[in-house]
Amino acid sequence: LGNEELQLIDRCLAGEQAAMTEFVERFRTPVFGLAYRMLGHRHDAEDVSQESFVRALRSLHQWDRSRAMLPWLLAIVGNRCRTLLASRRKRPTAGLAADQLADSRIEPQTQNLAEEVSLGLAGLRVEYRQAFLLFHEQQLSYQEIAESMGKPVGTIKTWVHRGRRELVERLKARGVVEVS
Amino acid sequence: MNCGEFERRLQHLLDERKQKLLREDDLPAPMQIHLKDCGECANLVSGYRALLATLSASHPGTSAFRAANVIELTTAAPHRLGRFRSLAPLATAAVLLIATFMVYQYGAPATVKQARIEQPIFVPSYANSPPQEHALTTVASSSRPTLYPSMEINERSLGLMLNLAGLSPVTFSAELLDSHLIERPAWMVQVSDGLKPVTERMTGTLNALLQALPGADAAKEGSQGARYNRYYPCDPLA
Repeated sequence: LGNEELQLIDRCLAGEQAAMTEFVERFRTPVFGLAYRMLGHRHDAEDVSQESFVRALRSLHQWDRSRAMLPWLLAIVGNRCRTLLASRRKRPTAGLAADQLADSRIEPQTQNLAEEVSLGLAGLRVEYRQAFLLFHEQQLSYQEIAESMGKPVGTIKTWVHRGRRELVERLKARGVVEVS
Repeated sequence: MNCGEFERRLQHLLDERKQKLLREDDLPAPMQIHLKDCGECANLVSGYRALLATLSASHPGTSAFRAANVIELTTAAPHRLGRFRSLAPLATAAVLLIATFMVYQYGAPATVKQARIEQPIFVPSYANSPPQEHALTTVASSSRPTLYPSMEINERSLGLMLNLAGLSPVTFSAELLDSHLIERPAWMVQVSDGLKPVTERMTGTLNALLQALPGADAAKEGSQGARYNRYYPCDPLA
């Protein structure tokens, strides 16, 4: 962690509002990115992002200064997303992406890979999804993901492998991947 | 190289973030050779290539929430009940438990009182009594002092007079046994002291009388409930 970042966090801990704003702006994109990919819903992702920042800033004194900030922050986001997804499972009207994915009568969305990937992510197990996104989109190392999710590196590797394999299988099954 | 080995190497490349090598021409030579003969693995490589390219090209973009909202929420004082909110279910359970206990504790005696009210004031009960004694159930603190018989004893005889409110006095008399002349039995002493000893015959008379009385009223007024009292046999009246 750079000195500049450490100073920023120290200022946040001192209750300086300008520093908190800077903190939010600095991490806004990865936080929202993970939330959006995990939830597949922009409005929910914004709520989760905002809530995650509030929790992070309030718990900043618990952060281990010897470790990177982003994995710690994304761990909070991941936990909030999982909580929301769990509550969605109790409400059958939520989680439309997963419902659509399970419905084979829906026509493939004409080569729209981005939508297919989103639907594929929605159909993945939450653990696979989080590990896959942290590795491939947030560019965290396996070690950082393991610390963030509180699992052994081997488990994280397995989750990432299975996640991307299932996504590819889905893309192939939907006919949106060029087959040679 | 078989398909299993090919995929293992492919996963290793992806773990090393070398997805740029997923183009067929950039793969390591042994993998290229396998791909030429294996359409299934070629499809797999195409799939990974498309997936990762799409992921990087379709970034969710920026969020719309205002940082000021985060600061406001962060610096706002926590809800006064915030730290105790988790205790709310426990507190509710405790209140319910106490309420249940109190209902049980103070509701049960009313039922007992109701049962006691239905009991007759005087009921002979000889069970578990010594042969010479008879036990009677009564309301100990009956507020009917007129039920206490008054007694007069002279040289050879005993007179018992029972005064009942609203009724004419009932008088019993009997000659005393010789033994009672030498030493007065305890029951006599108790009658004299207002402890209402009654005889077998007296008991029957009392019960007959009490059947005609609103006995429940007396029971209601008794504050200590029913209990057993000892009554001594009165030989002269037997």
